[in-house]
Amino acid sequence: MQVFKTFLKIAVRKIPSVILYFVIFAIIAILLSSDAEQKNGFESTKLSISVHDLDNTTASHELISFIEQNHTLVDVGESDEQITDALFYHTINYSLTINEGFEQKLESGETDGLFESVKDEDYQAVFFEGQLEQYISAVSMYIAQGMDAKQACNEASLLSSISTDVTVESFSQDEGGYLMYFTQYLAYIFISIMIVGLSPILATFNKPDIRRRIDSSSLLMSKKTLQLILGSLVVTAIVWLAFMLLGIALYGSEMFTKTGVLTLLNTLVYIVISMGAAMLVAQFDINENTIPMVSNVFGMGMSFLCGVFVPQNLLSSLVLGIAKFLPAYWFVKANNMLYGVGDTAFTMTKYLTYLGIELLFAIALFSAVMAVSRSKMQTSE
Amino acid sequence: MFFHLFKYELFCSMRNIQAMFWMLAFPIVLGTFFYMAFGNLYESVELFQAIPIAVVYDDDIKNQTFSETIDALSSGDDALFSIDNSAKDKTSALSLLENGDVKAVILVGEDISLSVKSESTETSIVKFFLDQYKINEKIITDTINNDPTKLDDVIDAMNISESFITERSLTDGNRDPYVQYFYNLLAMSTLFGSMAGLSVVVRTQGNLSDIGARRCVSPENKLVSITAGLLAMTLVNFICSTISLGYLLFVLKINFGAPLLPLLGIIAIASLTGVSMGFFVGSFGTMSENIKNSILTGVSMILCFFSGLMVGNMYGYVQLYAPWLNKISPAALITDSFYSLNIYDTYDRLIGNLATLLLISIVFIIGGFLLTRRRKYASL
Amino acid sequence: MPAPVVKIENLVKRYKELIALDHFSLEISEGEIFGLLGPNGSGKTTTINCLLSLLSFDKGSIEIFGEKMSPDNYKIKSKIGIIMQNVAVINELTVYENIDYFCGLYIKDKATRKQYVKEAIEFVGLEEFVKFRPKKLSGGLLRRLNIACGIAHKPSLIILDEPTVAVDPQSRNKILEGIVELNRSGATIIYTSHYMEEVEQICTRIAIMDKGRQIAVGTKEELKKQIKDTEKITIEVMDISDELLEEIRGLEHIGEATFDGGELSVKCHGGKHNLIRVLTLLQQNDIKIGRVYSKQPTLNDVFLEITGKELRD
Repeated sequence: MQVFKTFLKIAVRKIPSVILYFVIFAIIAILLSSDAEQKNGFESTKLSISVHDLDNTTASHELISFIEQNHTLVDVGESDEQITDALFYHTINYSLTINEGFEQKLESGETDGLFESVKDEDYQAVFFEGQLEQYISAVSMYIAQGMDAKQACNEASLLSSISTDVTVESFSQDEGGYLMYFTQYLAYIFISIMIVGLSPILATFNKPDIRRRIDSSSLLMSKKTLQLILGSLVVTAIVWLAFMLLGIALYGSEMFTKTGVLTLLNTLVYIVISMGAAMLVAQFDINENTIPMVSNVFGMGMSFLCGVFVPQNLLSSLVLGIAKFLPAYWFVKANNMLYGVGDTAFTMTKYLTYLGIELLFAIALFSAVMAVSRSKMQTSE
Repeated sequence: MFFHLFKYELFCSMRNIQAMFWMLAFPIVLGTFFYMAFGNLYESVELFQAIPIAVVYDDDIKNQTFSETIDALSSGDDALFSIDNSAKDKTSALSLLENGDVKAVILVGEDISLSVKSESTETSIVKFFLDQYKINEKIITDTINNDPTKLDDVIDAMNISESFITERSLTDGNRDPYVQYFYNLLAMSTLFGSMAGLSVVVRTQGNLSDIGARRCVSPENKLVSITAGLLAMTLVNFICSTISLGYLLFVLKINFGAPLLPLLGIIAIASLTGVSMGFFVGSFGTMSENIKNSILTGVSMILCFFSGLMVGNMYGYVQLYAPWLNKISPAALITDSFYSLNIYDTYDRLIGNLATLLLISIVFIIGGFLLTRRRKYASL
Repeated sequence: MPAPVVKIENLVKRYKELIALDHFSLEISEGEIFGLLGPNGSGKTTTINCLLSLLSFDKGSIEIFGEKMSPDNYKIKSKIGIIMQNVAVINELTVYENIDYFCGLYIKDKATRKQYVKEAIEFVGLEEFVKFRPKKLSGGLLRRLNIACGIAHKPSLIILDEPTVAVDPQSRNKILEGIVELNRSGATIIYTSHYMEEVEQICTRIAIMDKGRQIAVGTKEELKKQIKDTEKITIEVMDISDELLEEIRGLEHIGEATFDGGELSVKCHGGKHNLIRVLTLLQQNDIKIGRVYSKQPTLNDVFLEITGKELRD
């Protein structure tokens, strides 16, 4: 077990840098997933709206409380600059100014120039303006019936009880959104941390001089390989467990539902792929400075292409076509499906298929590791 | 002496594969990934386009009013919906939904109901339209029941003025939020220039490298040699970032919403900030170059994370919860410089950002000079 | 007598608990090849670094060319050439560029510099490798490049700190010859090494260091005179009687004489023709003689005598 012991000794020496990455990634994972919304069944999209009330009347107050019922009011300040910035960075989706004379105009049946808006030409704006239009239209209709503005606004607010039945055809079995985001970002984190943490350890054993020395010893080749794999597995298991513990600390019971367990299984398969990738990187005689580069290109590149940061259904079919040849795509697809996000309805068969494809990537990577190491042995002799 | 050192510092960094990777190759590779991931996202996904839907009518109950209304909404240039007429029954409509051909299926019978695959703004719009239809139906029915004389007035009032909202446009710039990823890319690229700044210190300090020791015993003036090194590295950083910018502008055709010259101005100052940051960190303590390199990579990445390199609206969140960070983080300042150049007609904010960047650079450089001022070392 | 090129007086350097230099003094005159000899860790490199104002020291004074040495004394610095223990060249630059770069720190005039660089390249014999990057050079060639970088500006004081560590014998000889040649063309040389053979071979004066102290200084002959045993004679003989041994001991200048395992060992204190006198005595007694060898004392013997330990352990 000499090789294995040495492996662990080197691993212990790498702990500070791995912990540094763990902390950075843990912070990123927490920040990213806390940004996610919890979704239970069908709820109309809630937008972030900033409202600036110049009228300050009963009618305008009624309108604001109507908006508040359906959306989130966000105060970003009133200057043009603050509004522009907030819109650009999607801190708000829409900025609405209720013009002076809003109530008066409504009562006189006039609807021209009630509001002023700053917006993008996006779905959110269309959605919000439609809703506003409906509200104002309902208020006008009530006023036409003879009500005063206040009463009409009241009635119009009550109309939100009228709601169309919506069936969500592919609903996942369990609720839970935070865990999905947490595990989603692990696609980026696992591949990066494994290459940064594991590759340098293995690379030590692959340095030509050391490899020749071990290979010329009485130690059987198969035993050496076995011990290296064992060592890698230990490191991999520790990294996986560390993140799972972080997950339990953050999301607790969500981890132990059926969906939670399937999610964990998916991450487990994925970290094995990451281990394969790290082993492959280590096969090439690269110096320690190069490893972070490789880790970043692999990690960030694959994440952007496979929909880790940007949802898959937003990516073009060309990108998705390429992404199908990368393991993170299938990991993310399975992960999304488990929570009913994206276009694919959950079935156990599909889930197992995706997992199977991921395992094929793992097998392909391990075969590549074997092939490269074998060809290296021959050339060095 | 100055030009001699300047020349060789240039040579050194341009032949340093590691530095070239971080400052040149990585931004270009990542930029390509960005481009592939969301180069056209704004137009194809963010900007409103008619929502594909399928409508299935119950044959027994002909709902003429509804079909007229929805047809009206599905025609014309600014149609709300585009109706897929290929589905004749519920099963085939649902399979369209399953395949992603339509976003929603409206089932019109006694009641009107909706089937969707997932919650999104698009499906919310469809639901909202159905709600609106039902509400108007209810109000009109109520009016007929209560006071039929007011029916005409009420129907009149239903169609409110099209200009009930006047839009105020605050910018002529490119409002595509995804362009900020490319701002961040350039911020990252210039901040990675800190590694070049680090190499200047390492090569001049006797206690950090043999070459540094070698140079300390030569008659070169340290102030001159560090200045030459910093300027050379800033130039290299600037050239690398300019190549990255050129790649984004002319190969990927990203719309930065601003002319080239001011963009180069931002990059020039950002390059100096990156190099001076590396110079300062390099001057600090006697840790190995590798450790300092990792620190700089880590710091650059974290700063860029908070300015939106990975999650686009991070800058907005930071602005909401920790605005001070956006005021001092070089990554945020660089990103915001590009942004304000794109969005605003006035230059106050841009100048403010650039001034802060210059101030940070000066603080770093002076700090670095103070830390490296010592000429003799207690140990080597 | 001209002012010494280097004058170190009572130099003390402490690293926390460890005393690296303990009241170390040294004077080196113009035209010398001065050897600093001592085992690893004896303070040779520390002395050099203090001399160059790289290291701060706790006590003492250093003068070079009659002036106080300080980090700002560019006039002195420009006259010094240094070849560090570790190869200090820039990996991104070619052989030519490296030499030009370091030479450029001293020589501003471009034409002069070009000439100097060319001469330095010829001097170390790297003509065929000018376009190579350091990574592609073998250990010996790298050392030669390191030397070229240190001497291209034609300094009048050259300091070589263990320039032959891990160098193959051919390169080593070339380096040593080069040093002598530099000296012949007028440079004063300070040479540190823990290889006594090298120091003995080229140095005109030698200081032996141990634990931060100077334990002996002088020409190699002077040093060797400091010890009792000047010559050691070994003669292979079949057998020898105790009486004859006693007789040998009685000869003039002969100290110890022992017989063990077919070898007669005789130690002498000075004097000449010791070997002939011993052989004559043996012949007179009809003793059959095998191989005969006589050994002059080495610096190692000097070191051994003074410190009671081997120079190289």
